[in-house]
Amino acid sequence: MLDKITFAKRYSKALFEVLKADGQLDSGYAELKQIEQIFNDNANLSQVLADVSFPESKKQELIKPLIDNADSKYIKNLLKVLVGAGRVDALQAIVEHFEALYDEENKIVHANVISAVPLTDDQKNNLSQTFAKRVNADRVIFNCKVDQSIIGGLVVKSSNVIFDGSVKTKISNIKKLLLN
Amino acid sequence: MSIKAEEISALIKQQLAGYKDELSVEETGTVTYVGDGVARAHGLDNALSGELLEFDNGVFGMAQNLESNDVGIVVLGDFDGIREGDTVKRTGKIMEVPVGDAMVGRTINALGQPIDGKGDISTSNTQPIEKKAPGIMDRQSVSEPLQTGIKAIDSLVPIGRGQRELIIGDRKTGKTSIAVDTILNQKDQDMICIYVAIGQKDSTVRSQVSTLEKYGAMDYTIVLSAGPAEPAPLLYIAPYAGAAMGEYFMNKGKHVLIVYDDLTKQANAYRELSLILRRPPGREAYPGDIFYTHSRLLERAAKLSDKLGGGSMTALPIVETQAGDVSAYIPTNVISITDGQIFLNSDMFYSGTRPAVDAGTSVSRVGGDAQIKAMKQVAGTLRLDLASYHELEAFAQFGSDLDEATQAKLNRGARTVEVLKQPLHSPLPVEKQVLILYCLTHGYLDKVSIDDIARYQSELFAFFDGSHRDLLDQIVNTGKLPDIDKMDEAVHAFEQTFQPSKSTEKEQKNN
Repeated sequence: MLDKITFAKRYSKALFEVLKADGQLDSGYAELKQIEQIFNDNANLSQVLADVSFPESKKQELIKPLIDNADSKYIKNLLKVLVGAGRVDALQAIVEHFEALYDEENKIVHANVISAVPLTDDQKNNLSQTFAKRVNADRVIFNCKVDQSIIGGLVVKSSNVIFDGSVKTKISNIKKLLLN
Repeated sequence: MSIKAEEISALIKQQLAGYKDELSVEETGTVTYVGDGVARAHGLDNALSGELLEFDNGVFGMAQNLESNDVGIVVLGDFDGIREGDTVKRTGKIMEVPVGDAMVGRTINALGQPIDGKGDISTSNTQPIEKKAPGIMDRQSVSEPLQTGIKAIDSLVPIGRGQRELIIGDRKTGKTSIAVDTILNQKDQDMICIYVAIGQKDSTVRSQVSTLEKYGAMDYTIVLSAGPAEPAPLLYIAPYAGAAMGEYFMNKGKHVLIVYDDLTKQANAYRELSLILRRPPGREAYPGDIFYTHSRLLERAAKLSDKLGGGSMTALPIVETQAGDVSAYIPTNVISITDGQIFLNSDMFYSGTRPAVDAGTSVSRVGGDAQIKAMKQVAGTLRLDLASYHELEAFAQFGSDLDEATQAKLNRGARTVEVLKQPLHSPLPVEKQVLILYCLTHGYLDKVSIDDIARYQSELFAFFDGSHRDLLDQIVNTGKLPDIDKMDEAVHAFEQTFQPSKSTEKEQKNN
């Protein structure tokens, strides 16, 4: 059996390509996010659906309203395939990778911003413009957090890269410099 | 206290002057698996193979496997502090170790940190541990001898500076002793020696270091030890780290001797981490690139061209065999990489022939060019003598029933074996080796009883040291054998004074 990540990468790519070909990218993306939300809200759902000891007929019953409510035929099919293959547990990973592909297509960058004090809207706007230029994106979506342990400055985390301008890191750099 | 507050603050200011306030941009990944000295991490999309990575707790790792979804990392140090979900940072650097003159005389670990309790090593130079070996045009052929001080080796399997000579044999056959004796004999030869102990018991390394200290060899030696308690990655990188330190001196035009003790354990360590990294196992479960692991290491031994300073690095890798089986995977690999091998035979060792060099299977593919002329002259027939002796040895028990030619051969052979014996940690200078071999090949020893040969040898050396130093000096200075008449005259003069021991006289009467 393929590991979850390889599996999710393949299915999300396939789904992305068919949705793109049919021009349903945006609606498909919104739908996927809704489905993900349902799975997030019902933590046991994916576990139950992937469980081999749970009767097949009950699984179909459980998933039926989901499938019926989906507009896109591709997403309907994806759900059927996942349930049939017993890999509903990979759904969240698929949505995650789909999101990455969608972001790449539309030049959207998600970033976690950590600051010591809450940022004002002005600061956020400035930051998003500068950051968008830096990473060459059209739109930046921030997820702001406040963490007083960084003392001051900002830390921006975005797809495996950390832009660290926090006072805490600067102090630890000075400490290293003095100790060597 | 003699330190003043102003001085300290001036010092701190000076150091702070080097600080640049800049945004740190770091590529990171997330640890998804940790165990057995290996970690896996998602992310790190741009990591390079062999790149140094830093974990949250300050421990470093080396990127080994770059796969589609994650990166396999070997942890160079304590992996207990690493947790799933920790971040790993790229450093953009390749693994480096400190090098320099300050390393000489020290005992260090595979990362170049001192483990001898003599304080910090002050050196600002570092070198990457993996470096491409010198190319064709950077080399010249091996021409200078590296004297091991061991008669059986200098006469039968001579080693040249820049050569790679394998020392191979079962456990407890004196492999390490040969290497250590060779290091001892490099005193005053303007050589730097590096002893890389891979997976050797710390107690063994300790006693090796005391031996080196006792004979004054630590003045020109670096001991690099990766003990059995260290994680496998450190055992794996230890020989490369040693080679990097050796190359520093070689590139300065110096001569370096490096001993890898032993590569079997390095191969085992590499097998361990390869299996944990889930690389497919091959023969004897070693990974596919185990040959390259050793060939790229040993290729770094070289004799540099005069343009590059003419320095050299001689490698003495050691490989342990199981029950004399040289056709196992690692021994055959390393035999085919090196320029010859010294095969130590456990039967010979236990029958008292020490060093137990097996003349039949030991060869040196380039060393002949590097032997001094005098040695070539006296040792030329030695290999043949030994071969025919071993062939006839079975008939020795027939004693006087044999014809005279056979008896003479047996006699000569038995004496040759006796002459090539040598006690531990007593390397001989080349002129004395030539002297005793001269006596052997010119038949002076044929009259001496076998039990007397060791005494004959030491008294002969004392006699020449006292009365014929000029002849010995001539061998050293010209590399050639002095006038044969003069040599014969001196040996005759010695024979007048030599008293055979009483037990042998009786023996001779009985015969």
